[in-house]
Amino acid sequence: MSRKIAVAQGGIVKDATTVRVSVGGVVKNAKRVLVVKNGIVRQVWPKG
Amino acid sequence: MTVANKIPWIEYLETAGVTVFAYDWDMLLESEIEATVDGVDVFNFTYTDTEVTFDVAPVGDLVFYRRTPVHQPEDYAFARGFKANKTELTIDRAYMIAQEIESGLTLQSDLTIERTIADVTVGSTAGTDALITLWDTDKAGMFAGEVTDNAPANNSATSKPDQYVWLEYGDIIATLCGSLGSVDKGQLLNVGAIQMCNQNSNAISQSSAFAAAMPFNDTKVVSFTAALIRENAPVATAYMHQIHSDAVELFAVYLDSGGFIKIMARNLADTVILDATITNNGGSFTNSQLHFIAGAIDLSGGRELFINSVDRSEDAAYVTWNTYTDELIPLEASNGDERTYSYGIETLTGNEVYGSDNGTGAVGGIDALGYITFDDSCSLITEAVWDGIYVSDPQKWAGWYATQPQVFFGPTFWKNTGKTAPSSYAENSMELAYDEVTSAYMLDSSLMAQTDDALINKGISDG
Repeated sequence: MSRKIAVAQGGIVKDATTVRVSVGGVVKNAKRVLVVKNGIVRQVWPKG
Repeated sequence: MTVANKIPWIEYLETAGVTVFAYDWDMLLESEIEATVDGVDVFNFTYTDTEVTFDVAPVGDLVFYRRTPVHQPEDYAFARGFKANKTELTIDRAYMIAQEIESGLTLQSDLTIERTIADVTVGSTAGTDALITLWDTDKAGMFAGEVTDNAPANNSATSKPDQYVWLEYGDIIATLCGSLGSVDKGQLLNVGAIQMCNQNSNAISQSSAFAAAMPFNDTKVVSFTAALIRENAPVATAYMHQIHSDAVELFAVYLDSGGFIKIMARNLADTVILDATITNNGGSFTNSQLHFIAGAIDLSGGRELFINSVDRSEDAAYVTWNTYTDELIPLEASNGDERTYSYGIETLTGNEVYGSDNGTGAVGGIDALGYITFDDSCSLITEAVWDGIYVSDPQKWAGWYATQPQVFFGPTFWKNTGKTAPSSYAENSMELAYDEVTSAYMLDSSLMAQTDDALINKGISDG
């Protein structure tokens, strides 16, 4: 799987295995991350 | 013009009855005179190059001063000349602004913000407006999106602008995908072969559904493996039907007495089971009832994968895959060179290392193979892989299960596209693996709900 989500760690871009979001000050596990591309919703994480 | 060395600020204390006030500083065409009386802005005056004239004589402490606009009225162009008057004017302006700062004047450059969902315009009274667009993968920018528990469906149309982001949170159905998602689902390469036997025979011959070797060159592999097992006439609850990896395994998946799927870290080599319930609350099977066992195991390093449904006192099912992930995996039944996998029901002799696996009822047999896996949204899906008389028509499962015991299982081999296994697993730390697994395992109730749907969709039910 090619994950589009990546983070920089020590100058090296690595794939993220966990995405968490803050909801009202509480950190929750992210279920999905979606981004609009050309007017279409595209799920970018996790992606099989 | 040469700017005189003057502070462009004058104060007349307690003035009254005077309308004309002189000043001696330089002015640019764009410069303005501003005035206050007792600290309050006043505007009832005019001015020339040398004096300020009020319409009505101010009464109080009068201050007037010069303000020069802070902006660059004309850019210098590449390869164009520097005109003397322009250069001088610019220097004069800078010098005058400096004088005004020294006089205590605060420079002004008013900014405004205009926001839309797709960009922000920063308006400036002293220059060109700035447009900040959305972030994308190549360029920094503004974030536009929302954190929600109800994001739109993948591939749906939207009126939101490109690069708009949804961060959806919620139950971690994705975690079995996701926890294993640390490893990666990757590309489905193949599924298991088909075995069958019938109620009259607990033996099952090795066979193969695939004759050709499949490329399987990656060094890290995750397998989602699933089984539906029926045990005949169980008489106790101390059954164990599970999927686990070999003696260096890291966790096992089993069905508890409530019918829920559990994932346990364990170490068969030391006969250490981290949760006693794995032995006490093995799946309690009822006759004519199908159960579901799913596993997801890191197969990196050539680890073996076993599916056991065992009756130790009688002939029993014993299904084994040996997978070697750094070589081609010939999906042949033959297991002569250890680089193949085999499967079948064998008779246990009682001294296997899998001592915790036991059940009192006879295992009816294995009728067909399929796989259970997860789609991109981590929803459970099932597929039968037998294109024979039964599975090619899923509806035929319906009447079939009722009269014959059956097992529905099969390994699904997922080619990893370059990801690595979680380091905590590779470290062979049971505790760490346990923590990871238990914190990441799929919610039982959710999974079971999906299982029902999946079975119904395939025409399988426990009737």
